[in-house]
Amino acid sequence: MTAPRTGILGSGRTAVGRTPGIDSLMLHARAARAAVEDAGVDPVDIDGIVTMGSFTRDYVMHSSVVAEYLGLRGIRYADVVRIGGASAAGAVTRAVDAIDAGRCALVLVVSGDDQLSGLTRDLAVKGMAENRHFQYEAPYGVTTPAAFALMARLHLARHGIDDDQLAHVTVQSRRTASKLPDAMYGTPCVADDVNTSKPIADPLRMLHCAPIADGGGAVIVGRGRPDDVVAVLGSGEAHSNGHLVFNPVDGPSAGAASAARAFALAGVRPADLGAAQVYDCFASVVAQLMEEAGLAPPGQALDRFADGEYDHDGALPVNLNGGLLSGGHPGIPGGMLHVVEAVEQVRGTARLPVADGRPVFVHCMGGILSNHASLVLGRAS
Amino acid sequence: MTALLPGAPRSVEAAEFWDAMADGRLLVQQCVHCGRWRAPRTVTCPDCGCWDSRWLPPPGPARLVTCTVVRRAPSAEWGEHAPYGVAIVEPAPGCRLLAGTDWLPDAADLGRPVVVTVVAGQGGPRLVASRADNTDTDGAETAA
Repeated sequence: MTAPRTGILGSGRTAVGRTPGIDSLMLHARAARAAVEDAGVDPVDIDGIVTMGSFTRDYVMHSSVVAEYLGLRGIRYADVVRIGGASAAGAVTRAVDAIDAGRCALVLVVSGDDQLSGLTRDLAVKGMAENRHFQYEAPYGVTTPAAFALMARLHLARHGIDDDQLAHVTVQSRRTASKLPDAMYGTPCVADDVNTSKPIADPLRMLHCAPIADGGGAVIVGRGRPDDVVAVLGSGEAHSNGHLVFNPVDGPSAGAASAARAFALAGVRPADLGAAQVYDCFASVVAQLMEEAGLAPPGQALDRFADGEYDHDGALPVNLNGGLLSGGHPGIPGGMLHVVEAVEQVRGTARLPVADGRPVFVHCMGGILSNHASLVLGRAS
Repeated sequence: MTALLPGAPRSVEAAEFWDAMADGRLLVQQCVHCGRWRAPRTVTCPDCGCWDSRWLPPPGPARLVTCTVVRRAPSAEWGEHAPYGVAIVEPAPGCRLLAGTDWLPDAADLGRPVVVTVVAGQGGPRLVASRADNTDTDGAETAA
């Protein structure tokens, strides 16, 4: 008899887009129910919960409020992971660690937010103020796209790439999304559409930016037969700083170290992957992270996007759910959508199944390329 | 361009820095143990862990590390100034600070030598980068 293995037993997600009237807690509940039913577990057996807070309706004891809302009474392990967009992958790792340490047996990892419908002007202003350093950044009118634009400018210059090449990421994303029934932006586009879209912060234009959305995702982490679980074969994290102005700018972001650690612990090479889910809040971010994770040679990710190598039928399919760029970006839960898609790819239940039993890489990123958490998911047996 | 823009509030953790900024001068931090320059302030030296530092004028020359032009502003207040330039500048080796720019910078400006001046704004002092080799006067801005 094979020893049980800790891993992901099930996953679920909500519709992603505009869902007015469904607030953050309700999105948590919908995603949680989908994951619980997918895993085939009983809610009363859940004894651990890991959440990631909310932008629209946060609580200091956020995970306890979510557990309370769901009616979960037997929680022995509760955590709120707050490492920005990296939280989802980081939360999965913490859930696995908690189980392996004997602190709990069945963990709900869940995130949901109504960023599109529930964001008041006051909350938006508050978010801007919190995310930009009040002394060293706020006085310069640096928007979130502008912060990523500063990093994109550096990445393009480092490799001598023209601004208009960034369009290939969005074109691939829309092309992938067009094969799905429910993507927020599922109409194919061409590079010219991207390169003539409204300029936001040079070199980024509107179609390089992921659209804000409502949505959520969840996974159930527990122990099961190796054939039944999606194992975390390896995970890594790296956190370089908290504000844009402290970013490393003379070399790769901390993403390189995060991905390298995940691959090393998994004993998996990028060439072994069946698919990759790479955080894509902006088109430039995907290209940079692909290269830093070793999924593309330095400076060549955009060429490969253009050549279709990352399409669902390409050499390394990337962001099979349309990513955040075309699937929609609910904020912190955006990382969970990447994790959920990777789980579905490993199990072969994805809408565009491509992994065919091979491992799937997930890279989640927070801040302005400052917080990174990577996973290599796959079958343990 | 800076008159209406919100400035930086002072903080006690870098009082010397903000005193100098209010006086129109930029200071950066230097580790008293290993001599590493740093900006913005950190409590310990990232290289050697030393807790003690001194504040000095940056030895320069400053260069532009990266830049953008914000074309969609975050608020109506900023919208009056859009498009406007933002840069990460290196006033001393290893130091990184944000600065406004007195021109609309592009990819060709990366690595360019700049002069970083402190300009008084309505909400407080802020940094503005000018092209060190600039000979034209489009949108030129003088230090406060």
